[in-house]
Amino acid sequence: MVDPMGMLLTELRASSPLVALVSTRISADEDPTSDQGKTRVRAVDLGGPIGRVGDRRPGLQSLIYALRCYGPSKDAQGRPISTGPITARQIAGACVDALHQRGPRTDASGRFVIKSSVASIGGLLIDPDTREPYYTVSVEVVAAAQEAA
Amino acid sequence: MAGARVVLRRGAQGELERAAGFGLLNYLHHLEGAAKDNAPVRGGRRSFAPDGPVGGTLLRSIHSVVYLDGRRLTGDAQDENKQALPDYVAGRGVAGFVGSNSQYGGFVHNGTVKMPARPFLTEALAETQGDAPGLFRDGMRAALRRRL
Repeated sequence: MVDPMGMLLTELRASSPLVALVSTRISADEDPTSDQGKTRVRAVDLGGPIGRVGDRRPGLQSLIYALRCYGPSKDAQGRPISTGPITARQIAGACVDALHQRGPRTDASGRFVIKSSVASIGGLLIDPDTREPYYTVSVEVVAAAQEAA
Repeated sequence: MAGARVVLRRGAQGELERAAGFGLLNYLHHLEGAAKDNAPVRGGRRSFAPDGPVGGTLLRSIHSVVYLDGRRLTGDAQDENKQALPDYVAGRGVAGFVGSNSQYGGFVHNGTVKMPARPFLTEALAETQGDAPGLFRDGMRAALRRRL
């Protein structure tokens, strides 16, 4: 099975409005500790493959990803700030603009995404450990399970 | 010359929508069961604290409801923790919801800064979506049979 998450991360990193908000801090799941308190996007694979290699039908997979979009919780001097939720929502919106209703495309590695769309932006949450504000963007992706020639 | 006469049976559309609601509920109960099978339980399966006392609050908070034209079709008003279910905004037509009304269900499902995701609901969706057409059909058929 080919995992298209890397391709989506590359597309997010190519989005200039998103990069303006989070710089290079777009990655899969776990946090480097140095990023805590800063704006960032963390992608989580929520699973859900429906096709497998070797199926009679074309090997397609339907996947759901969650993008946790964190706003800042501190300013440059380390003081708490209150505008974090607004920035987090802007980051979520930039993720939607980068991925919503995008049609077929391939990347240099042969990964083939047929469609990506955003199902929802959740409500504002505060991380229970770090108190950082974030929104969760749910992205549905239909992609080939094998590399395209 | 043979002819056909079509008679509009008033109320039939309402009966069909109601039956569709029961069809959806039949599948959502199945999805709820699969989500509960996948849900982490403290001190039990998929536990973050395997040595802790056995919990299960998250598992018991998973529930399913179906709305028809903004009103709950049937079922309990509480989850298994005896907590009132939220009022979902359902709008017109048939709408169904499966989820947890624990305050931390979303954190467990999607992960946090310090906790990996345990996506019990989307895993259940992937496991059960092949059963959906059959369960939907059976639930709808049973509801229509009761009405005839």
